Amino acid sequence: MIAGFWFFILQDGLFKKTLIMFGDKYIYLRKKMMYHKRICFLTLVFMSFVCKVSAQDYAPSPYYDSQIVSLWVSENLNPFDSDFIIKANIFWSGPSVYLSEYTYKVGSSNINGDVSYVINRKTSSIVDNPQVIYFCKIYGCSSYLRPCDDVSHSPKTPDWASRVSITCLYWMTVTMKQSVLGFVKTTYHNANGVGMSSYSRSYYDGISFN
Amino acid sequence: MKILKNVFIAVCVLLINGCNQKEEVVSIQKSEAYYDGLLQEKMKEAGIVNTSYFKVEMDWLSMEGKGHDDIMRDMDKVIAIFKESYEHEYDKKLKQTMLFMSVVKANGLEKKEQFYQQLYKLKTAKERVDLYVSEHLKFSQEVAIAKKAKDEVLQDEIIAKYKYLFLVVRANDGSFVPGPYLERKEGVTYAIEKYENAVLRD
Repeated sequence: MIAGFWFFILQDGLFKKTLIMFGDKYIYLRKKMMYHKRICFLTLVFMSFVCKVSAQDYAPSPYYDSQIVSLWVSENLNPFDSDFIIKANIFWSGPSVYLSEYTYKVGSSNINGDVSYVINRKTSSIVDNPQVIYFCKIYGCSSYLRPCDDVSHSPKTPDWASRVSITCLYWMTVTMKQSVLGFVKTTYHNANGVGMSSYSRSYYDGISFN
Repeated sequence: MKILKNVFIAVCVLLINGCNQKEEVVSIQKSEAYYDGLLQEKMKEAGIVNTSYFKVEMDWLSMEGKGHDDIMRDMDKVIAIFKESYEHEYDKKLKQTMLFMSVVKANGLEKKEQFYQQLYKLKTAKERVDLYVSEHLKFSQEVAIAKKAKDEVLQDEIIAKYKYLFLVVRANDGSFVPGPYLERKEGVTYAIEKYENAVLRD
């Protein structure tokens, strides 16, 4: 706000100086100055708006969420084969961004079976980007105090939200052992580049929206 | 009555003896090597080959108390069951290998790596699939050793070394498409990680 005001003053003063130097071209400069004043006024309005958002630091409400991803599925249709899935449960929380994940297996086996897996490689990352949203202040609107798409519900108040993007990729070797009537079958499976990538979600006031 | 009691006991003793004798006859097994050889032979007949990704062995602990006839009957049953899953596994691995080879060829990398040269030298699809999967297992074993030693630098080196083995699949906007990669899809680009200029997105 203050910066905008000084900008306005400075611009105005600068023009008065040029006015003295070129006294004979008074009308022309006068017109130009009027035009310039309008620009300055608009700049002031814009700056006051920017100040409104950036005056407060980016400090959204805390949010936390999780997502379950299937990493590997034993796709055998044979009834003697075990039905196994290796899953990853990925948790994240913010705004001081934190990510944790653990992998586990679920499934049933008709006949003695065992599934084990090794994670050969892993990439996981989380990025929290500030996002400006305009939430609705119309009481009774389905998105009251939430981001609202309805154009008629204005004015909307700007506020900070979080745009979070998550990556969790795994490269695994899965070993599946099955014993049928005293005969053991061992199979190896490659699960490469599986998991969750480029997944993003937005949060406002601790609740997700997209 | 006394005679009857004696007769009853005699019959019981006879029955128990008979049962024991019968069990002795049943539990005669031949040597382990004999059954192993037989299993391999029967599997070959059914079209199953022990490969790097599919192995069938006998579990001798659970074979105790089984007669020769029982083992033979179970072996036939098991081979019929495993045949189906072998074909399914082979089919999946063949698709993976074919996709990988097609990506190598499309990028003109056939002669860039020793592994690619080996892969293209092989003539049958079964050998190629075996080599492709065993290379992955080699990578996994090397990583496992580095992990056990808790050497993260070595782990990264191994990952960097084997980057010729991994596909990078991207959507049109450049985002990474997660696996499994079995068939060529439309609207995505395939590349080999080692020969892709862009770094894998974190």
